[in-house]
Amino acid sequence: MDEVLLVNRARQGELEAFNQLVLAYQDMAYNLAVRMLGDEDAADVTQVAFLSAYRSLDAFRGGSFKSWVMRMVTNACYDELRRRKRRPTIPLEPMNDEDEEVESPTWLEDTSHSPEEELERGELDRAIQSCLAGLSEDFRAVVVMVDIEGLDYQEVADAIGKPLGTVKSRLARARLKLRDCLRSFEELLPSGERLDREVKP
Amino acid sequence: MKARLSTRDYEQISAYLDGQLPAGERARFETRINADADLRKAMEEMGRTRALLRMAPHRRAPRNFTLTRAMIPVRAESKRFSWGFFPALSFASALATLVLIATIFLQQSPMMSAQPNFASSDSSLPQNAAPLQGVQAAPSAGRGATSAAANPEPTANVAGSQAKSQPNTGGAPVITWGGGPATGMGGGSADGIGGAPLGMGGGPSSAGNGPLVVPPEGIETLPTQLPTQATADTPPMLSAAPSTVNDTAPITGTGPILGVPQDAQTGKYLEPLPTFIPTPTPSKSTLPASTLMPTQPEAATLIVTPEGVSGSAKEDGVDRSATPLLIAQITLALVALMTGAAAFLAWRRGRRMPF
Repeated sequence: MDEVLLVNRARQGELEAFNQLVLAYQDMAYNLAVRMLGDEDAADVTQVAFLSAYRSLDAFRGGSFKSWVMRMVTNACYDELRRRKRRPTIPLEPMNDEDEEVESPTWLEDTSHSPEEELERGELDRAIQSCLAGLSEDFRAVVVMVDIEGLDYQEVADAIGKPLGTVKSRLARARLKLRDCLRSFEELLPSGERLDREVKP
Repeated sequence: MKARLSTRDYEQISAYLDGQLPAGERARFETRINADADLRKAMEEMGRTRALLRMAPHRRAPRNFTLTRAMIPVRAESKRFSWGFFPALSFASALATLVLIATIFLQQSPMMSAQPNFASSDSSLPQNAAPLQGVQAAPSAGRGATSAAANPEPTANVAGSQAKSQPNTGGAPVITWGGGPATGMGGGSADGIGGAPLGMGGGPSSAGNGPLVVPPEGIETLPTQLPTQATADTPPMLSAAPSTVNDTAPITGTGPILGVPQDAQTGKYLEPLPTFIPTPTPSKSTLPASTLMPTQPEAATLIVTPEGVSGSAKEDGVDRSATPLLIAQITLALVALMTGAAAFLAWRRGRRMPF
């Protein structure tokens, strides 16, 4: 996929070219929205982010289109978080087949693992999501983009519009907070990843 | 351990785990790790946290987020427009503000304030209660005192016509004094005959309800022969150049006398007089009655210049210079505010634009 060509075609009004970019980055964008906001409103915010990305294509000055998309998603998430602060609501959990609320939308997860793995991954996912929710928005965005989305420091710096030093600092502090938080979920973590295990020589 | 390790240590650990430490710093950090068990343990814990986060399941997008034409009826033309014009708007606002400040500064500067126009337009002056336009009722436009005395009728007519438009309501006459070099506001004639001695006075003003009203009786009490010399009653402005005054003719009458302000007005509004009579002249000049027309509808300011006294065009200069300047300042202020607000809105809309 030639991103530059697609971006140029999209700038000229070819919506199909832009949609190819959307398909390439929509999972990553949605994941960031889920980690930033939880499952509530993540899809709507992702859609808004892509719409904003298209409407402001002329402002794209080149560089990493992935970073640009992630910035749009981050900004959309910040907007949504501010809206929630203004109008707090009670989140609704999704319903299962018996019309009962489930705590996490496992029906959206990647199911390419064994049932045991899925169970562990579900617990881990909840633990991580809970700990991420305890971070400030700025720390959360950085650690999600680096450790969950796999962006490098420069891409994150471009996405949040901050220098590399800020990314490094926020990432280290976010990891420290998550380390302390995840200790409280020791029993939920995969056995091989217990944080209190002895340090191997 | 926590207390011993600094934030910097944890930042180094985090960057080291991501392979983001520079080569030299990485070597030093590895040396520290081998020697410091606490640092090594902290790195192990952060490494496991990092690994856990990277194990977090990835969610698939519940649907495609591709766009349709219906979702984008307008490609944010206004947003790009406003953001694109932000530099121009901000520059225009700054420029207008600077020009406004410059005009205010120039207005307040000594050079500008010394100008009689600005002095007369100062808000502290009572003439502002009624725009000063009565001076031309006095010797108009450079008409000398002698010529005016020789033929007082024209100026009297002028004064009379103005008196019709704004009748005098009575009150104490106030002779205002202004000054300004080469402003053409002298009362002297072009030939200088009626110059200096006669120029030492201001036109009486009758500013309606304002303080500058001239009693009608002042007309009758006006001496037709103007004392051409200042006496002990010489106002401060005259005393500024006492050597130029050598006429000892007594001043008679109770009305306003050109060149001799009443005691109540002595010392008032005399500072702006920048120039004075350079040489004394014989007191042969007579004051045309028209120069002291108390029925002038508005205050007058007679300026003493080396050429003499002229009361004409002074007020015109005031209105023509001060008012446009005020209008210009208000316009500049409005332009600065509007462009500044537009630039702020453009910045608000555009600051979230990536890259």
